[in-house]
Amino acid sequence: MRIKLAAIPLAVTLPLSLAACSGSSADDASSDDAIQVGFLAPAPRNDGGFTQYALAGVEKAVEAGGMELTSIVDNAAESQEQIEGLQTLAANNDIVVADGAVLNKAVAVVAPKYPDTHFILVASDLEEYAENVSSVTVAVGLDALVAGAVASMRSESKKIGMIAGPEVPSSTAWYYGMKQGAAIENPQTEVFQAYTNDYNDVGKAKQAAEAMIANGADQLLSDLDSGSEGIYQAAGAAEGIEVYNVFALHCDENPNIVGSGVVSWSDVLESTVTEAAADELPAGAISFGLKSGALSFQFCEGKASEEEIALVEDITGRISDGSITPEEGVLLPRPSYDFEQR
Amino acid sequence: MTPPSAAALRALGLRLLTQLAVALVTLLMAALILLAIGVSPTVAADAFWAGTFGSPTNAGTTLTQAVPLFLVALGWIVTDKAGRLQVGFPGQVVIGGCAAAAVGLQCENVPAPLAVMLCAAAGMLGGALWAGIVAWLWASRGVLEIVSSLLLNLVAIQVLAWLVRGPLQGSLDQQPQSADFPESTRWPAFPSVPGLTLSYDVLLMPVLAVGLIVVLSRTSFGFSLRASGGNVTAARWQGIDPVRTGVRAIALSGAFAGLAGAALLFAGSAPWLSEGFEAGIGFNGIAVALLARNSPVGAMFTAVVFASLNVGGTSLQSLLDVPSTLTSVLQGAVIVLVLVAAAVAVRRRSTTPPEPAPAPAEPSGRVTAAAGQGA
Repeated sequence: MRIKLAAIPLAVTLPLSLAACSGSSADDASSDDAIQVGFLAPAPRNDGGFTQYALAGVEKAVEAGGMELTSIVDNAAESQEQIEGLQTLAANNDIVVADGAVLNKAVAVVAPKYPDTHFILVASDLEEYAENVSSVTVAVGLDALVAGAVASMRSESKKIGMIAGPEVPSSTAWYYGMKQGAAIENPQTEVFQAYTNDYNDVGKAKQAAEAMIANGADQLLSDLDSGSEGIYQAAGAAEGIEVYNVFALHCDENPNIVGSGVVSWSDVLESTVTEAAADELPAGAISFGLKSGALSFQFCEGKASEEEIALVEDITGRISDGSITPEEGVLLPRPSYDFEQR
Repeated sequence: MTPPSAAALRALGLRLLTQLAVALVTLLMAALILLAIGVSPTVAADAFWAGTFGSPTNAGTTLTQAVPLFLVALGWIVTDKAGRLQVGFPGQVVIGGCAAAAVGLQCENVPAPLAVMLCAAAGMLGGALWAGIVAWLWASRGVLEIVSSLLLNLVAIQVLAWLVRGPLQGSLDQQPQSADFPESTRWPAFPSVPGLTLSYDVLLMPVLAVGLIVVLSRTSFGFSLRASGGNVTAARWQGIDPVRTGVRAIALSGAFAGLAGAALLFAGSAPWLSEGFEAGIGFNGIAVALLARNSPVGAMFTAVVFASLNVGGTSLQSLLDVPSTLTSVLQGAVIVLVLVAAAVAVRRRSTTPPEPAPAPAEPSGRVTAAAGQGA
């Protein structure tokens, strides 16, 4: 018993002694002149998708010089936690990147309290205009339109599907875009949609994909991050199922992958953070479209026929010249205040 | 008033020692984890303190976040006293919050005091009705309350997902969130605390703790709860209906959880309904009660401990890039340690020889054995 009691103060003093020997993270050298950048996301920083690419863009901007990425808060899934995280970041940084559609209200609460901090809200808009907030969105529905046309052309059953995480506009835009694109290629093509409510849940994604395959879909688009693995597994267990990714090409992850509606979040964040650091990023909403180069549909090597490549070029060209007008739901809802289309 | 016996004092001392040991082991684990990821525990302690109690604003946030945890803990204590084991607090928090939000969104032109009361009442009613399903299934169909309450949590989450995309969706950009609640429905905060982070609902903690103690120890309802939880047969012999008492206890615990849901929405700094607003309060509230050994007064303090873990965890991540999962690990460690401590206490009790019975005062006197029920 005495030994056990003696172990308690030992246990307490041990970490304190070790602490004296360890370095301090807060003491890490940081340039006083550098512009301080903080990053907050509701998802994990290594989600293999949206958050990871956005963070990579911020890091690229920081590496270019004159900036320092001081803090990363990830997994902030709940509103209260998001507000606390944003407040701490805003108090210690010049630029705060709020990387997620669900962060709009939290930014609306925090931004007015820190007028000297520039907030970059990614993939969402505010309900009201805020002087120190720039919201950055990407017109993913335009990419989805091309993907839908390609999937429709490749489909034998003329049934294609889209599986996403939460049912938010940035995800539903993929569905509506695919639906319009498929209809352009073949009006008979059916488009299914399913939402797992979690971008990283492999099990739910697999179940959703299996259900779609059972209903005849043979082309599946995954608007998921690490949850895409579930779709790969379902596709691998069936015959003739092809998969499309979003954001980036993942051709080496699975042989069933045909291509991707590439959205270069990395480039978008790199340019916006750089502009914000130079005090050149306007407040209000900015949407990146096909013209900006942030969006493109790309095939995996050797997967596309000449006819399919021609289809992609045709649809992309017609969207760019305005002869294809996005239908309702394809573009994200536009705010009533200043809006810049790039 | 009878002075506490030596045995009671020893039990109290043991309880405090157990809680202290749990806190120390948790701190040790935190320190080791921090060292493993290259962060000095002393620097982390500074950041943790700064984020939780380092300023009146942060202290207000921490204390306000403790209230929902405490309310759920009270719900657990009530059902535990009645001998029932329901774990549907996450669902009851969610449904209570949804009910309060549904009412709050309609209170645009209602005077503030009335709007606040209406929202609180709606939250309690929502939580109680959701828990009432558990009670009804148990009382009339014999469904184990632990099973039905656990499964109803999943249903509640889906109900919330539907509401924020359907009837209660209010955001212009179609996010799964409601509109902001009207100003009149927001629970008032102490004006002296910068940022208005300290809601007046912290006053509920001492009031409800004392109230529950009085109800449990001084009222017939409290006696029926304790009797039903202690010995069903004995309770029946005393004319108590354990089923009816159990139903009331489950509904009351649901009301506490529902009020916690309303507090999360209307006393916090995020005045809107969104998916995930429950934020683990339902299960963490159970841990709060367990760490407090089911004492309402103790739950006030353990709720503050858990709230500081939540708030401090965000601060650690923001300032030192400490992974947010550290908080979850520590909360899980606390629960495991409390259970281990309880198991050790039970084993110790079973192996400790009973004290010799006092000699009878009179040759003809009877020796009575008092079966004590731990608080």
